[in-house]
Amino acid sequence: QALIIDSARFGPHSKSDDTRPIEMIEELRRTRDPLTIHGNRLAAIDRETVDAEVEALVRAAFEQALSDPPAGGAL
Amino acid sequence: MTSVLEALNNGLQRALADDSRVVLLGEDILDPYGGAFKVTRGLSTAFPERVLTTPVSEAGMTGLAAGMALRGLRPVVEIMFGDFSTLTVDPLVNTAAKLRWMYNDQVSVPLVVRTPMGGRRGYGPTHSQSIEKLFLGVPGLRVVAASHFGDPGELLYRAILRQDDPLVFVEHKLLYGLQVIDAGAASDFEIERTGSAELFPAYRLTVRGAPSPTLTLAAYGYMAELARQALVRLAYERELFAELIILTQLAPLDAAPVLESANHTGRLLTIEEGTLSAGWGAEVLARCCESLGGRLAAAGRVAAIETPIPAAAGLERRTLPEVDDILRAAEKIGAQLHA
Repeated sequence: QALIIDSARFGPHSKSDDTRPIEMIEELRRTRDPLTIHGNRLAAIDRETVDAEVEALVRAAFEQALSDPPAGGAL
Repeated sequence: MTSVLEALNNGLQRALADDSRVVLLGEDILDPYGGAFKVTRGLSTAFPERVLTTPVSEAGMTGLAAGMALRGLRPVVEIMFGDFSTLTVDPLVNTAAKLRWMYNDQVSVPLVVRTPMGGRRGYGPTHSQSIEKLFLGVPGLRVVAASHFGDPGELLYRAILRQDDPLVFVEHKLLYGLQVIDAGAASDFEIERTGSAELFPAYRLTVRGAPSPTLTLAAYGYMAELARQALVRLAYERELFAELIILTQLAPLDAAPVLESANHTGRLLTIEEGTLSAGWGAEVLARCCESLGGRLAAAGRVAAIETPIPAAAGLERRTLPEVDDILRAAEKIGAQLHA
């Protein structure tokens, strides 16, 4: 038996090496994003709660990082 | 004027043109992208059947290439960042380096793995290392480091077509943008080949017009450039006259050019960007101690501090050796003798 995970990239591995047509990538994002797929399995209220918590976590991390002085002094 | 990047690209192009057995493999090396550092740019267009893009599997592509080499091809694998070379260790050490020996010379594995090492670009702990020392001393495996002294493209060409051992070819990222230095073009220093190595030569740098050196510096790769800057500053700012020995083949180690110089000066400072413990400098120093004994009056090593390399630029600068660190270490060795 084998476990085969049929995943799809939404962007390049390196910086600009993705040569697929843009419509294909947009279609993949719409239909194959695990966050979207799994999010749709949650009750709406649970999805909103999770999104809000994560948003707050990320925002706080950004604010902390941007307000901290540069480590080791400026360049 | 040629950059190291252009020279390497040219060396690959010449190898592909001269021998149809040469094959390039790596991640994202096809045009138009042409590889993360552009070393392979233009090659998939010129040689579409022999420049192959691989999945993101360093172990897979190296094992595959070892099989190709075994079957008569001359593969050149690009490992996108030298930090990922840890994933290539088993196919290199236990397959490529050993098969010629295990099959008693009935086969060879002419596999070249080329990879950018080095920091100072803020790429963080897992994209900035110089871990070539992990490959030193593996029987059957050559390790060669390009610098911008001499022709790095010719060095790479020779690695691919003039020798049949598996070989790790180290390219420091900051070398790519440097101009290749011809012997005649230098204004404040002289450079000449030294030692008897034919394929992967050693060089000796001295300050133009300086008196006989009293200190030996030994370096390779990008640190050879920082060592060169230190060489000039030591002469002009501190009247300390050294000579710099630059090796290209790191393993198997032929330390004769360094030994010859250290025998003359009695003082040796090795310089590397990798971490200190069990590094390249440790091996060079050990050989010099064994051969020169009391003739070696003082010795030291300049290397990176032993922490993961920080992503923050200020901290990265303090972790990796700079010219001032070389100057301080040289002075310390000088001071040891006057104590």
